[in-house]
Amino acid sequence: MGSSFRSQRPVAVELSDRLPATLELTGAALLIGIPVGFWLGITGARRQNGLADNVATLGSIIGLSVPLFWIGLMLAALFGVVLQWLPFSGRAAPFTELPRMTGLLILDSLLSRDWAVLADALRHLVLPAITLSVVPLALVARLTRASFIEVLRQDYIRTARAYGASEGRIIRNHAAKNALLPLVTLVGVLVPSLLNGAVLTETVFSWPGLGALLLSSIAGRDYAVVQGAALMFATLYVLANLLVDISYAWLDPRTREA
Amino acid sequence: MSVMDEVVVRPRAATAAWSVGIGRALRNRLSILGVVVLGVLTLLVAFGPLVWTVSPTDQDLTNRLSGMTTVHPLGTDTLGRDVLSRLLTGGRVSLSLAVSAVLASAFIGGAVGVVSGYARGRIDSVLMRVMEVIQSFPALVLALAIAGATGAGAFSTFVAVAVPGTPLYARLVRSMVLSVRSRDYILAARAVGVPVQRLILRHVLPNSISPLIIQATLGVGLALQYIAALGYLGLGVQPPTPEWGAILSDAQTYLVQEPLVLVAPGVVIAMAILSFNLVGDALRDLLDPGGGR
Repeated sequence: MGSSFRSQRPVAVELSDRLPATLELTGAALLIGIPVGFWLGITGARRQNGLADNVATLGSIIGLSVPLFWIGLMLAALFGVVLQWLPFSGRAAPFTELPRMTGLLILDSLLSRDWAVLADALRHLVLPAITLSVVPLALVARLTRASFIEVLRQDYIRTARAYGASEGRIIRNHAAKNALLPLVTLVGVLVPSLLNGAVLTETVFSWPGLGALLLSSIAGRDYAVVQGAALMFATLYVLANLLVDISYAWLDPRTREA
Repeated sequence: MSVMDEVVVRPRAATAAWSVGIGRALRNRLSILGVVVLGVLTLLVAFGPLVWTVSPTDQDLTNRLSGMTTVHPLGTDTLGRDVLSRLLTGGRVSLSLAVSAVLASAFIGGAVGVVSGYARGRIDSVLMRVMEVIQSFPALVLALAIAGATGAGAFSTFVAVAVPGTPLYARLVRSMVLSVRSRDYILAARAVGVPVQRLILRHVLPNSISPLIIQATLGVGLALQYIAALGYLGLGVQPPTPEWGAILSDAQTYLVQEPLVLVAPGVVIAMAILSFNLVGDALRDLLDPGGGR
């Protein structure tokens, strides 16, 4: 892919340097966004139009409308500047010796049993991860709700209720499998929103990932790196979509022939 | 199933009537709220700069980050410029860019979709592969790459936002055309010798227009997000022209000294995007009761 004209290093090295940071950030955002969104969606579906449902619906509409970088800035202002609870810049405190194996800082510090670095890395991860999780959370909540409402209307759910199965059991054993299936396609929407969001989140929190690399290369007219980073983003996106198609065929035999 | 069955079968799913009422009222009120906010914002942006005549670019370096005062209701920014006036003028820039970018991508995408869906065969495959190439990039990344390659500025922002949006409309219109063209009335029109152009303009397009309108309304919300993001990242409209994203970017520098300067611009951007999303959802309920959600 050529070399960066700023650092004189090969573009591939630049990219592989930055990729783990982005993966760590997006992974953490998904770890927050999917379960919470899921829980909100199910709660909403069980008590349709209940108070919790309305609050969650309103919240997800707002979450999808507010610019992501502004959420990041507000979180940084509140928890970083005013309350001073959490750091809001970078992956770790400056001038610390970092263990480096996979490049995933959390994993590396776990592997080398460096608890101080682990705690520091986790503290640095909180605000960016929450920021990036907002859009996936709202999307997951919306679709989970719609999907469960659809499934809970089916005859076999009525049968299960007639047998006297508890609501929790119905959700877990009867509804979940079928309601989760359409959610797999959601990954196709989640991934671009995550990658778009990563560019903004990394800029707000000076997170040294691919998005920050893309931006600094654009600013520095380092076109080889710009191309490489854009290609990397596209590859991640296409790979994710491929994975969705494959897993969908695996989960739902009906789609295999098409 | 009678009402009785419903009650017997689903005792725990029954929700209090008032709560269902609140849900519906909420949806309705949200739609109304969306329309109202959109109207107010449009009026403010259109006539605001005529009423509030303080210059958005005049600097008053002795009076920076003033906080709320009677002279500057929303305070001044890092260069002592009036924030209210910058927001009003910036809204003109942001909103007109967003609307024109969406119109461009809907128009071009729509044209591609019509040709693709009507011609089918090889032309269709070529056009759709081109659209897929555009879609294989996350939209903001593509927008950044375009803005980076063409240099920052209003026109490159317009292009950077319009290009990633195009495939959405192309695919939407193509699928509408495909489903409409096999209908009997199209066949009848073709049988009596209606020329293709007329067939498309008079018979195919009007039947595909309402999903396009819904998509475009939601698209303006999305375009505002990207324009603000580009402005924030410094690749959008260039200073001293005020633009919502760029205003936030300026404020960020003083995050540590004065966190409050972030609030007003953010709320305005969020309200604008929210209102387009709400109106889009309302239009979907109105024009396309079966679809969506």
